[in-house]
Amino acid sequence: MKNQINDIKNQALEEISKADTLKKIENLRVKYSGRKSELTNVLRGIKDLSVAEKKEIGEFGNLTKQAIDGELSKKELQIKNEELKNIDEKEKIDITYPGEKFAKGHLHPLTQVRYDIEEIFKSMGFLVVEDREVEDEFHNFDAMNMPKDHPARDMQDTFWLKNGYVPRTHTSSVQARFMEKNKPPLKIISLGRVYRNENSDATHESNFHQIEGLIAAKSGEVTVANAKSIISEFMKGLFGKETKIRLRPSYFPFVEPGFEFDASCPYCKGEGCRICKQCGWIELGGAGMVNQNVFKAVGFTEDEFEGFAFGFGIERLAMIKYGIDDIRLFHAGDLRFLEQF
Amino acid sequence: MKISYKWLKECVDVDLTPEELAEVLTMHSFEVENIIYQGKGLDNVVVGEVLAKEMHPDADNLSIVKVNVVATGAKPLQLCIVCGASNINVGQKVAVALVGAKLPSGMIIEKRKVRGVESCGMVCAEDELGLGKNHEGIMVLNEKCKVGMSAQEVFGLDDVIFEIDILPNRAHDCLSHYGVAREVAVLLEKNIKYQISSIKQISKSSDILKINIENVQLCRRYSAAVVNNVEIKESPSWLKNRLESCGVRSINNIVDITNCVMFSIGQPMHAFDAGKIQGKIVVRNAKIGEKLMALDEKEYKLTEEDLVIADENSPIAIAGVMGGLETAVDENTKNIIFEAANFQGTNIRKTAARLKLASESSYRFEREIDEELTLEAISKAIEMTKDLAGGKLQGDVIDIYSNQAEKRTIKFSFERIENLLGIKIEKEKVFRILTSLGFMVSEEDKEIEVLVPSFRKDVQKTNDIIEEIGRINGYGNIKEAPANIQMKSVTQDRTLLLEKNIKKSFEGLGFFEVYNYSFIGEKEIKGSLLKIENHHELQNPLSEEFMYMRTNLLPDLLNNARDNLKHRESLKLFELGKIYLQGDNEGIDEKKVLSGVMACKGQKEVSFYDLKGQLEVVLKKNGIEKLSYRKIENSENFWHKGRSAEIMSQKQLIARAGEIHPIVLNNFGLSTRVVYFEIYIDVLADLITDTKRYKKINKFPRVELDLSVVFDESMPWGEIQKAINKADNNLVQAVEPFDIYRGENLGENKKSIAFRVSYQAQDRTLTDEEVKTVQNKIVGELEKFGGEVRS
Repeated sequence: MKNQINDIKNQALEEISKADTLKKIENLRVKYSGRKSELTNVLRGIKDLSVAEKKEIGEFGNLTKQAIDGELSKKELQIKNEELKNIDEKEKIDITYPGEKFAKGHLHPLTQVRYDIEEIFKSMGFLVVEDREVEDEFHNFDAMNMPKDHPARDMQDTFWLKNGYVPRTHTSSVQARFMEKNKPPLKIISLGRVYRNENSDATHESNFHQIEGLIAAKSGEVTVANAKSIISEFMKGLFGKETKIRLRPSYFPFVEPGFEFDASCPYCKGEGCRICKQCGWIELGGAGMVNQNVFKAVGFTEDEFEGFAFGFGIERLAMIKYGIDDIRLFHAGDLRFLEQF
Repeated sequence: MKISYKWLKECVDVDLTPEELAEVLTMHSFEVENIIYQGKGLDNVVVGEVLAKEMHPDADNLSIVKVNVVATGAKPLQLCIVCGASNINVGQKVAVALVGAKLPSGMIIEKRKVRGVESCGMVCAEDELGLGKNHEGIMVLNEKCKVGMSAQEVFGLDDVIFEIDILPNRAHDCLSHYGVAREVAVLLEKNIKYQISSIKQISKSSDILKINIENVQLCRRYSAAVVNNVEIKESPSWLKNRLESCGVRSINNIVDITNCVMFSIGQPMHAFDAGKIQGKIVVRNAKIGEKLMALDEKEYKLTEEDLVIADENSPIAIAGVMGGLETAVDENTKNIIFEAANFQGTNIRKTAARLKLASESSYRFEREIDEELTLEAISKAIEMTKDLAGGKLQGDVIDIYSNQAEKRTIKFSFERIENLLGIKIEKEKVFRILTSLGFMVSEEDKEIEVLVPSFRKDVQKTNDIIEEIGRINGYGNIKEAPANIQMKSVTQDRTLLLEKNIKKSFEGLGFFEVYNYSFIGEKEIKGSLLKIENHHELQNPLSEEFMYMRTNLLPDLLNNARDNLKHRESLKLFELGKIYLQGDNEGIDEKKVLSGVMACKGQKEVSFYDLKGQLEVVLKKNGIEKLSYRKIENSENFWHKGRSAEIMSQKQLIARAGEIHPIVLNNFGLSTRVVYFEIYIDVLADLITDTKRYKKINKFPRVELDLSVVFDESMPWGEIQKAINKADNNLVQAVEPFDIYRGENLGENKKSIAFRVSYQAQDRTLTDEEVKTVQNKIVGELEKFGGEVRS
């Protein structure tokens, strides 16, 4: 009986090795492993054997069945995988055909630039603060060393409300608001909307946004060298590591000395192009060491503290970053513009 | 201010190109905004003489001219040029653009055939040379012009003009060629070439001219001189060119002299016709009702605030702003009075602003100028008059200087320089810089004492001096150094974080963020059924559309929706911005609001439920749970009261949402339903608790059973939900309505609501009996509300 079983096994294994389709494997399974298979038939004769033989032949039969099943499965997988070898070609699709459309949202480009800016400054240990948009005369002007009749008030075309309040002309007013409640050391930035009474064109808007920064500490702890470092980090964060900055003398009543900051043009890397009007530098914003009169206005003693303050137009930064040539687009609410960001 | 390179070079030796000089000034002093090469495009344009003219054989309105363009002595070069101008004639001197010329208009001159005749150049009209707008025929030059002379030379356009943005704090001393030259001399370490002229005879009054200063606060100094028997005539071309370089028209020799002095040293001057002045000169405030016809031939009504120069009868000039027409120097003038005074800036500024009359003179006085300049100006003017107009100085020069400026000294320690700039600068260098700028410097222990020259009115404090040292030494030399400053706490504002998260949530749902103006017009306010009287009004709005501060973000969002629906099917927009409400004591109450709209064209109109679903996602994602809804009662009229709601959380009104009233939509030209919402960010910020807690994942099976219950039409889902929760709040995990059916078989005013209830226990698999029991309890509870279960 053992020989019989062995013969079946050998025959089965040989046939399995020759099988080359799943259909054939299926037939072989019926033939050698199913209920009506030869092996099952042979093993049915086991009931006539002695107990010892029953055990021996039974075990042998089971092992044989397992071996045959194992070979069948192995061969089956082999054939299946063989067929899958060509699947890439068979199931090829047109990958240039458009994907499914999903409604996607868009944050305003000014918001995106604002968040970029906030991240840069937060990483340098700055606190982000906000304050009123419609200011009183004191915080917008007087505290910023622009008393009544000061010619500098003319520098900023101001809107006035009928009740005497001022839609702030700069975020600098936040400096005064914050220092009234907090003493140096300070490291703050404030981003928000400001207003200038000027007709809009491609580079001017009556409503726009600024970022204001202020660091202040004991006299001797804040220098122009520090100021350069902060602005440099800011510009590198926004326009790339290779960005260079330079500062030029300028004048704003609330700082002394006052500067204007230029960054190397991110488009031509300083070579000169249309964006930077061929000069390789892009004018970005104003800055300077806080005028002692500002500290005095918020109740500090003159010369006790020194500070560095800066202000940049967010629209301008966004225009440079994204190559936008008309500032009016930001407030136009045109989704064909907004969906590009 | 416009600075002539030629003029500047007369004041100081400059061995740099205009570009190099501009760079030095920009980096150390003030920005050179533009370098204008005069006569740019006039290369290869020369004087020619028309030798012959004949008609073009093939064109009636063209002629062929022969023009000589080479100076006598050299080999003559006759060009044959086809010309369309009718005014060209033999013997004329004309401007000829040679082949290769690139004119200011951009036109490039080439040899070409015009109707079969070869033309080698062009005879130019005024506009083609960029000298004016005239295109009526060619420009005929003065017959004295030499053939072959370059156009630049003929027109005096061989200068380079710098347009410099003189900073407001440097207007005291740099709104002049001498002032800029002084700056250049310091930067290039050169000496300034300028001879201070001196006047020998000065007195406070003379027999010839009596001056009375009534207001010494507003007129700190007044210097004047009388020159008799001058000859009024055209100025020589060098002077005309010089003034034109500065952007001023030539009038006559005397007026030009006063302007030239102003552009030279920065002191505005005026010349009166002495013959037209009655008696003495008085500097006083104007009297009520006084008027003056100024040089611009306009009459100005004066107030008591305005300072005037008057004779015995009436004002003859608005002090520091503009002279009067009646006493102006004209061709018949014989005797003149030169005035060089120092007026107080603020007053001049107010007068100029009120009269809307700005002049080169007022521009300078407004910014304050050095009191020491007046005599210098008079002296220069007298000198120039001698050369250009003849005449003789009568008597002494008058100088009344009653309100003398104080001399300022500033003392500080050397340390301070490094403490502010962050760079160590040698003491010798500090001294050298300050001395070259005109400061007197002395040293005492470790302190430095600086005497500020009268022309540096901007230098008031220590930082002003350190700025001078820093900028002359060069900010480029300061190396970047990280600041070593830490705030006590940098815990960031939670409101800002919330705003960011909410914005991102809306973005994730497909919303576009827009920014609209804070200003709004009457039309938008009324169109939105808002009340004008709730709005803060601007005193000086840009236009009618920008008259008021907005109190709601809706109007512009509706505009956005309408405009964008022209080129898209649907949209979802939001804006986070401030609104400006009435506060206490006429103050302003600023609130932050996040508002948005959704709209869809055609059949698939948006509904309240679309909006509600999305708002719930955003609010829940941001930590606002347990929302309840109630009808909008007291709010703006733009809401569709039947399809809008107030959203509450923790008893606070956190948002309103719903459809916009069709009347408003009509007003805004919208023909589709629009849903709108506003989330009150300030309220929300206080509610955020951030109490998300992990719940164990339930591994036992969930049983779902559907029920259909008939109710009165008026039964809100919220009540049904409540009843179910009341029946069981342990095994019932969720209740979701999925269908509402209305039909005749139900009876009038009835609806059948189908909903699915999910049952699940935390600790076991539920048996059918358990579920059945709970369901029966639910049915029992619903029956109390008149519900009838449909089988």
